[in-house]
Amino acid sequence: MPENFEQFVDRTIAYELSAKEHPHHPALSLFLDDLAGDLPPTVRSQLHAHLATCPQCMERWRALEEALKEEQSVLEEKAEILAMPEILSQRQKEKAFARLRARFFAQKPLLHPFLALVSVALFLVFLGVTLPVLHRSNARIAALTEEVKQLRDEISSFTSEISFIPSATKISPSWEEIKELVSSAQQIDDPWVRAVFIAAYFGAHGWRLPKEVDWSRMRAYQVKPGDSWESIAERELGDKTLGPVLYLVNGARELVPGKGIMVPEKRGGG
Amino acid sequence: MNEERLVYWDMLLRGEEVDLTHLRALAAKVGGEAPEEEKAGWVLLLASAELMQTGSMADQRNLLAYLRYKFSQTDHPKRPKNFHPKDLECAGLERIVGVKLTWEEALISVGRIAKDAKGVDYSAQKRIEAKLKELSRKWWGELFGPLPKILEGGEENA
Repeated sequence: MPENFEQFVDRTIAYELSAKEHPHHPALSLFLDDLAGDLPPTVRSQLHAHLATCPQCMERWRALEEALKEEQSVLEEKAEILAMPEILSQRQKEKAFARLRARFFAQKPLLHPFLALVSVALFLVFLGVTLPVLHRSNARIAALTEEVKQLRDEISSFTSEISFIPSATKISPSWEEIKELVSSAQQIDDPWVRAVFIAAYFGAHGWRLPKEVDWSRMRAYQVKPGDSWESIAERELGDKTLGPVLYLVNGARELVPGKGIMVPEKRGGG
Repeated sequence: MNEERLVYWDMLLRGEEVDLTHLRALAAKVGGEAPEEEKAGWVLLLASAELMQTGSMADQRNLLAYLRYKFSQTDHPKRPKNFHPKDLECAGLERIVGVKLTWEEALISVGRIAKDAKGVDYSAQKRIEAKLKELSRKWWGELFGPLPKILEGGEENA
């Protein structure tokens, strides 16, 4: 069988690349360094010599290279999408700035120290204007604080003197107050004058009757055994503190079971 | 031993310079009783390194294409996805072994226009083979004495 040089080359290279059993294999970090181009040429070629005769390592290396390439292409795609408009606008700004610089400094080199002097002068003027204004503002704030303190003292001394004024939050009178009102009202013969007196008495004591009760619309209620003015007020009006007011409205008389009394209607409900 | 040579093959495949004197010193340590494959390995490596060092620019490019073509023909492993011969510009063994380049792709990988009006230039492959054969004969004789049968008859295959 005639042999030629091509066969010699093929056979030799096949021998060089014939797979071998390697007792040791390179670490993954070495693969990564190689793919990053961080290995010195000799170490890199030693690693590749191993790969050429170790199919498993070659497969791992190529899989890793492929994965890195894919990752890189994805990252590049993302970076392009995000950065392109920014890069373009930045380039526009840089160009505009470069034109300005060229116009001011390249043609007039003396402008540099002149602009610096102008900046310093402007800063000094700014300080000269703002410092007195700030000083005056501080003095004004101190005076106002003193005034507020004085006013606060005056108010506290005034309120201690007027503590006897009855509270305006009180809604309905107590039994003692009602009895006192009744005894005063019974001395007045004219019913109109008596009504005005009662209204004035209410107002003077700061009593506020609830808005839910309509005192202009009255209805009859038959007293039951065991009823009291408070229990009637609670059941019929939903507020037992209105018991004394019911007593007053009904002529300040005692409750008698079976007899009728007048009870106001509730607004909205009936 | 072949792993030691593969380090230099990797450098040659990248088009990097290899110290011929150092290589010769390593090859000289191989005795006459060494297997023929070992001897052939050193001889082919020395011949390639010398041609890479002394050949013309065209020789260097054609040699690089030839070595890439030959080293890519092994059975293992397979060609990677999205493979393109232009990506092999600075490639060593790690990217060439097993990718089974065509001669046209091997020429593209070294930056040559692989095809003209006449088609793919296969004559470059024959020219490089002839030069490598001459150098291999020289190195075998110098290092190991009488030539094997396969290297005899220089002219017939050139």
